[in-house]
Amino acid sequence: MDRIAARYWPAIFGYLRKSGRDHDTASDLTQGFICDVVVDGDLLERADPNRGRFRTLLLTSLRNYTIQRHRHAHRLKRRPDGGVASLDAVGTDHGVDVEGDPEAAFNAEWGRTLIRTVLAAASEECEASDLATHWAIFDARVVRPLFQEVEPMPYADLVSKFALDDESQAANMMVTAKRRFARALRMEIGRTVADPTEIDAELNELMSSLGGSRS
Amino acid sequence: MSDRSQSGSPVDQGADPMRWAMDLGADAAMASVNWLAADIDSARPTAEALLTNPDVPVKHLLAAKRAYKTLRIVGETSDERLLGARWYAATIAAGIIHRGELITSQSDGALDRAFSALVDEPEMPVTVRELVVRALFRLRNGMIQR
Repeated sequence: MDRIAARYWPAIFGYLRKSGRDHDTASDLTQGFICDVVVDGDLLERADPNRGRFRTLLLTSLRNYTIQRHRHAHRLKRRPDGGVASLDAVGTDHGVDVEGDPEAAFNAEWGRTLIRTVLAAASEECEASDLATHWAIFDARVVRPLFQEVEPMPYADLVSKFALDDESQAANMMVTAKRRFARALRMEIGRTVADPTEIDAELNELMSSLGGSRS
Repeated sequence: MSDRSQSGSPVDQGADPMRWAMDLGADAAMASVNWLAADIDSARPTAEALLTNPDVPVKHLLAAKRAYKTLRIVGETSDERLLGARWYAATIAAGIIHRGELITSQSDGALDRAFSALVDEPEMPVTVRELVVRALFRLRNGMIQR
């Protein structure tokens, strides 16, 4: 359950917050959706790869869930326990603020979580494959500069730190680790789409949702 | 690293990893060649861009030459090793044309063979092949100083 929550929480929560819910409401709905639909509703088991991408299925299910919850809450408001109150007492806020793009927020958070997950997995895989130094170089040259906005560690320092032959060896080791990461990312996306031919389309959509474009 | 999309909004760092995965899917061996180039000069994210830049610094050419020379030995696949060899030769050609320098100790005979193999290689970009043609001309006409 924890793994499922960690995996899908950011995207679901991002969608709900962007759709105008306050932090606590979005948090409650996220928890409710994961429990009621993903876990108790066996969404993962019911997902049919032949019917499209899991990301799309999750988003559609979330949309439907929020509509159902909204209608349920609205019905409760129309039938108060103490009978019909005066018009003055009836709240006028029946809807939610739908400004912004909740779907874009969902997709962006989905992409970020995916990358974090695959970075961790690829790092472990490199460790297990005797490529720990390769990963450390990739981390120092590419990952940290990208996500922490630090300068890439100079190759001269990496050569010294890891007792390598020269900088070209270090550069090629970096590329090896990068390739492992890219391959792992493709495989992970492959698990969520109906067909391997859809992997690039999914990557392109996620890249767009993160503000990038295919150069 | 901050970057801006064409719309002017900030580009999330997560876009780059997606692009790497797409590079790999498009051509895994060429992805390695281009990533080595991008690592040398992030403003020239492909090997073609790096080598066809007439203002390319010698230090970049030297770094590229060494990187591709190593790739031709340690590349994971035969395609990668083959591309390493090709781009190694192309880098030497770029040094001759852009900087008027011979950044290798390879013999004229070895360079002639390497350049000749690239001139008609359809998998190499036309811009790079043109560079190699010009380098081959200079080599064969004694216009390169050692």
